[in-house]
Amino acid sequence: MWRVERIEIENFRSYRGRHVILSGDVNILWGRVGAGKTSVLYAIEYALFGRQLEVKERVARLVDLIHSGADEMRIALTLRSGSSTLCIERQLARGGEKLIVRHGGEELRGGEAESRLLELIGADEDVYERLVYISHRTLEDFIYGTARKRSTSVDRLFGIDIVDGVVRVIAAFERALIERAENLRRRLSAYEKYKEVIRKYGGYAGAVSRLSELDKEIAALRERERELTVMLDELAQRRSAHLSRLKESESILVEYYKAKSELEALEAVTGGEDATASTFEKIREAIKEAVEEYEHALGRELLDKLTKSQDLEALSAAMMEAHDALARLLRDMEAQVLELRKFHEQYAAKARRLESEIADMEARLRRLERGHQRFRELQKQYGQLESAKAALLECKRRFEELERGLALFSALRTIAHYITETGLERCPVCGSALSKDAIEALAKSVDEKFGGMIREAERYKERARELERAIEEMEALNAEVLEYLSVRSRLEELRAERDETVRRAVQAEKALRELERKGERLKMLLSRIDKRALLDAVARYSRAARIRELRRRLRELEDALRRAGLTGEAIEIDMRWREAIESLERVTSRLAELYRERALLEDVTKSVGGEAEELRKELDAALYAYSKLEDIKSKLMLVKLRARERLLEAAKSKLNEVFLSLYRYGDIVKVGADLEGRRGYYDFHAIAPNGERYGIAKLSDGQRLSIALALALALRFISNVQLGFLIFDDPIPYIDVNIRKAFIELVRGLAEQYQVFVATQSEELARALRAIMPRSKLFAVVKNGSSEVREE
Amino acid sequence: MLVNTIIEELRKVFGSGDEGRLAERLILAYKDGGTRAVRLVLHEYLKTLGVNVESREN
Repeated sequence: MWRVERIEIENFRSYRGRHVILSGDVNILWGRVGAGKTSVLYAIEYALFGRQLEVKERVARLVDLIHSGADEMRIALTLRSGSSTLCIERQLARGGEKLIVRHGGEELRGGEAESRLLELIGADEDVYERLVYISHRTLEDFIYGTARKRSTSVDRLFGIDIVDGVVRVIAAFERALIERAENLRRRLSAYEKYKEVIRKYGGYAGAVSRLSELDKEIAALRERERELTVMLDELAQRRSAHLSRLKESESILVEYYKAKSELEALEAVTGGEDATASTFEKIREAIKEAVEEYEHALGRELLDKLTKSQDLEALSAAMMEAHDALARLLRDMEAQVLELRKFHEQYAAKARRLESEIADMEARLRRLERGHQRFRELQKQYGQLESAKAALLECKRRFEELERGLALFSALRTIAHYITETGLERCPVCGSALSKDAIEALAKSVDEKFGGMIREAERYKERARELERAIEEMEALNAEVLEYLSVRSRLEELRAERDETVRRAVQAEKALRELERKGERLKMLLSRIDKRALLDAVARYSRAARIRELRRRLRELEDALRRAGLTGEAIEIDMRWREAIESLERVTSRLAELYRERALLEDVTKSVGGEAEELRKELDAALYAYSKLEDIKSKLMLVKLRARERLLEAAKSKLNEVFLSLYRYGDIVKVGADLEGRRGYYDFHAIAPNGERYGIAKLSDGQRLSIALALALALRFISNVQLGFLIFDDPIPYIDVNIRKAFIELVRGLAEQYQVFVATQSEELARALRAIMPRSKLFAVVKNGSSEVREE
Repeated sequence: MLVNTIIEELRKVFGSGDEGRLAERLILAYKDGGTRAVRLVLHEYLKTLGVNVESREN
């Protein structure tokens, strides 16, 4: 394990120039407070870990290690382990740091040197400051502290205080979050308080914007206030020359200024235009004409009012009434127009529908026309259907009669031809004698008769057929003809209805156009003379009258003032003086308003500071973050308890062995440690030779000190630290004989295994250590401008 | 060894999720850079949660 052989310090902290310390197995550094003892110990630490001193906040800035009178510093540390040497050299200037490590014939620099160094010494800065560099705080808390403080000191040895450190930072953030949340709640509450104000400015951003505008506005008004004050002083001086006369004519002047001010105000309204009554009269005439036109609807009384009213008030009231009445009439007319338009549209639609129906009927009639024509032709040829039927019956009857005659004549003709052909002399029917000639004549006559009857029968037959065909066709056409007649009749009706509808539509349209024309004219009149224009005309007329009155009165007052000896210049000065006072009052009053507004807005921006939605979101985020940190914190506490348990278990395996090697009085044969269940604190105990168990509270300070060191050494053992030295920086600052004695004994025991450095401000302790270990080296550390180390 | 033990226990308690990684970063930050480093890590973490707060120096 590495032991410190040589320490070379140059311009380090309180050491000016170069100083070399050759160390032994036990090294006692003695000196008053601030002499430079700790600087020697820091020099070792700096050589081993460099920048870590700054990172661990042992020093605020690394450059603070450089002596105030120098620009750079250097530490060279030589360590030895058996025959092996490790040389570490660190140089620090304000521009940066250099490291050189020499070991085993190699010279390494920079990052490579850092890695090799860490590897060789087997301990990082963290382990070093826990288990190598043992401060008085560690020992004190363990020896004298409460159970909690003792646990904290053991946690420090175990490195568990890292968790506490993290938890402390988390708790600090939690406090900050709670403060933030409280602040946001206050802001939200202020937002509620000033909600109406903020809304008035269209949101918080509007309020902020208004605040910046207010500053500009206030600055401008203050400048104006200053100008007016200067002007007022000047006018007051000039006015003092005319003061007595001005006071004598005070009442006239007051009236004069009042009238002048009113006149100016009225002229400002009219824009300098010379108002006359013509516009008003034109409006009156136009309204009167309209009322006359609609007298039948509006009544005579209104017309009389318009014609006969003399004073402006009555006349303007009558004009307003007439305007209202005409407006109402216009609304009625517009309603009528709508109604008429509806009627017109209904008639037009009906006419269109009838036209369409008529067209359909005409098409249907054209389709039936041919059948009707044919029926008429048949009727013309065969008469009415009933007549034709009667003719057919007659024709058939005649044909049947002829058929019967033909049968008879056929028989007669057969007999006659038989007699003729057979030459019979007697009749075969009646037996009477027959002559040949008579028979031949008879046969001839029968033939002729028969032939005539056959031809007649053929004619009837033909006629009957003709009649049958005509009747059949007429009957077939009969339904069509009836439909034709019905359609024709309906068509005539539709045409009549259409003509009537078209006539009404034309009438409605005419009435509509007339009403629209009237309505349009009235509307134009009312739009030209709307109520505002009417009121404006009345107001202008009224103003014009008042202006005329004021001008007249001003002339009178000016005459009166002239008679009282007041010149135009004096009046002018007095008037300007009064105006300046009024302006100043207005400015002051406005400034007061703006100051009030600014104070309110400043309060709003200061106490609210953002839009409500944003504030709410921030509050939610802060509370959520707080809950997350709480969760992490509670889990870290659990980690801490579990790590305590594990590390204690590991340390316990070596604790007893190390303790017994240090503590050789024989009144304690065993030490042990557990975690108490309730609070998770470490519970150390010792066992006497008689087997009696003692809690740590019952042990002496020296025994407790031995246990503390045994614990640290046990941890060193299991942590595989390759540094073979121990440093005690002001270990026992208290004047306590017993603990001092115990400590000296412990150092003697430790010196058998380790190289020891003890820095103390107690000369007594230093001498006592030297006395008990004569081979130890005693260094006196003094400071005269610069620190020095002298070996005694 | 000392810090390794804490890290091992931390992984058991926190698991290997985002929160576990954060806790590990906090421990290592403290070891290497003290409270200032932890403050930086926490500050960054809180920013991811939409909160920008600084803790006071102890």
